[in-house]
Amino acid sequence: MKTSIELKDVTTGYKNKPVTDNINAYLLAGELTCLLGPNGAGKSTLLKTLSAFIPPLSGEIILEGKNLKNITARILARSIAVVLTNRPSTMNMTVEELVAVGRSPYTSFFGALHAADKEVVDKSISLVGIDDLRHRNVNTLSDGERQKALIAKALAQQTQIIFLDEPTAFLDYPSKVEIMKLLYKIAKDEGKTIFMSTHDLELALQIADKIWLLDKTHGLHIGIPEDLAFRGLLGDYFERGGLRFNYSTGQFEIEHDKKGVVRLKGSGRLHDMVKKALKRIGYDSSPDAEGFVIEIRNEQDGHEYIECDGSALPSIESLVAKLRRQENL
Amino acid sequence: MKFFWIILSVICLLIASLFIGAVHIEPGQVLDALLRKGEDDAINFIILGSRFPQAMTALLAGAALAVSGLMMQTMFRNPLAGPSILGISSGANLGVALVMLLMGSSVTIGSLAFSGYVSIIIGAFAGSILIMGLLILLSTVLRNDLMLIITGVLIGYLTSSIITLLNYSASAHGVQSYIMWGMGTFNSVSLNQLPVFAIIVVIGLVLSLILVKPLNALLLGDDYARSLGIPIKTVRNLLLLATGILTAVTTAFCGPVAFIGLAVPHIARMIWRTDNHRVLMPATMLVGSAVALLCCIISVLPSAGIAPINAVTPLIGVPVILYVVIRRR
Repeated sequence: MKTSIELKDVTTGYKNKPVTDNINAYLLAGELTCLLGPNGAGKSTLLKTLSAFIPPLSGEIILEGKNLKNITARILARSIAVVLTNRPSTMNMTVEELVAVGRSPYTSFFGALHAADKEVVDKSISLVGIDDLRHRNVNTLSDGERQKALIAKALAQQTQIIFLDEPTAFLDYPSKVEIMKLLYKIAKDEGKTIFMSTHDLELALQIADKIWLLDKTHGLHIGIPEDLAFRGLLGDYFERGGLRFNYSTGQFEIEHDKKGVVRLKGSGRLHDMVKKALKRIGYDSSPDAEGFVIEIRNEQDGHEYIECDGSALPSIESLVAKLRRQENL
Repeated sequence: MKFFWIILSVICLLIASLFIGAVHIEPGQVLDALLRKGEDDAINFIILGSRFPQAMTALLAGAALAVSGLMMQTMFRNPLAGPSILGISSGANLGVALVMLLMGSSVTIGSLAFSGYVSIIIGAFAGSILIMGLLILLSTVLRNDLMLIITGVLIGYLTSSIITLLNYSASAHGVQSYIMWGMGTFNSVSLNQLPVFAIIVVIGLVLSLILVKPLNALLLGDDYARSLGIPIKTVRNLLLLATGILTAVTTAFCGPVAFIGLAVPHIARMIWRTDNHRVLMPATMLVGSAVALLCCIISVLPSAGIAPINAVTPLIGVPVILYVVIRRR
């Protein structure tokens, strides 16, 4: 795959205040790369440096064989599009007009759109799937819809590279998933180089081609999610009190205070849910542990129920209540 | 369609302002005077020497003030920005006061020699550019909308304190002509001066039309605009120049006309329901002309004679501003 942008010994930061030192990295065409790291790690500074909003303190950023600092604003605007984290305050224009602003690097002095420009605008709107919103006022859109409109604007810019600064912040969970999947699809179908910063760790691990991990103590580490997990790097970056990386599921889990062990017998869906509930309230469970006995009964007709102390319990909730009463004795 | 109606209104108001005046003249006589067939020299003078230049001045000054208000609102990303409230007019005011009161000329602009009113225009231009530059500098520090407005109002107080000092040491006649000028009028441009006034305003308006494309990009914020290849610094300087020229020339000739610059862009937004400058810029010009002509007509309605224009503009401006403030809450 083609390298779109390359960083050679780049130090990011502001006037004599380095934020991240000596970055050597590159982004590939056709890949969705996620930049992860805690607040204050320097994610935004790195994105701003890559977008040429601020110059690197040292080192070179190479875009299509040329040093970023030697590229004119107009050419740069045809190579890199951005979607920023701060929402535009008032946007009293239609989605179509907003997307059309993305044609600025191509239009003439007065910004008149030609047929070809209109075609690109149409295509960009279709690609993010907001055809039905095209005449809606941007002010009336939901956060997710507005984010899609801004992504369409970036697409209308027809750049190889798209940088997004926390595009999933402020969104509800289904919208986060939708935006991530959309960006992945654009990377694959259009061969774009997509680089986004995000706090949505688990989503990023599930969908990104590459992960850039960044923080103050460890610096920058790059790899595919599973390699980073295997090397224990995800744990290093994100584990802290109460949060543990589960190497078998490849996901982060909340660590609960341990209260004890119970003996859980049986199998099936109800069994799995009971096990989950027990874990949530602080009990490990196994079929051969010593202690309180819970049994999952599976009837011939497929009916499942919990048996405890010789009586059947109507729900998992009643089991939890029973255990809590036991604790207080 | 909306443009058809507003153009029609402007034409009607333009014609009406020729027929309606402080002195009652029969429509037939007005037509005769316009077609240069009139035999009554007094009526000829009123129509061609007073009403016609006044109507043209209102047409041009209205467009000029409204457009500079629009550009300031976009540039400062502040719906309450405008030449008068941000103290730009006060700056022009100060420049004019310095020229009028210190040059020892005890006459109004209407009867000044060419060198006299050129120096007044230059004074107004220097004053308005100075304040605009100051505000642009401060706007990088003052992120808050309200702070900028308060700063503008404070600058207004500061300039008026200097003007008070100037007035204190000026001749009685100088003070009177300055106060008359300060009330605002569209009746101060003579037929001979009209071409100069018109040329300067048209230059400013053309400059504004050229800025339509960058203004649209600026709606998304400075960073987005830059990523779209817009040279922010150049655009800011051009905006400074355009608003400076337009505010200065209208203030120099017509006095500090309040509210048109602030209110008209909002009226245009209410009618066209867009921030897209390709629509909003010409719309604002036309509505500005219409409102100024309307104010002009209203100002001659009182039977006692001609009311100063600043006695009329708040009647239109204040409700619009209240509406904007209440709706933003």
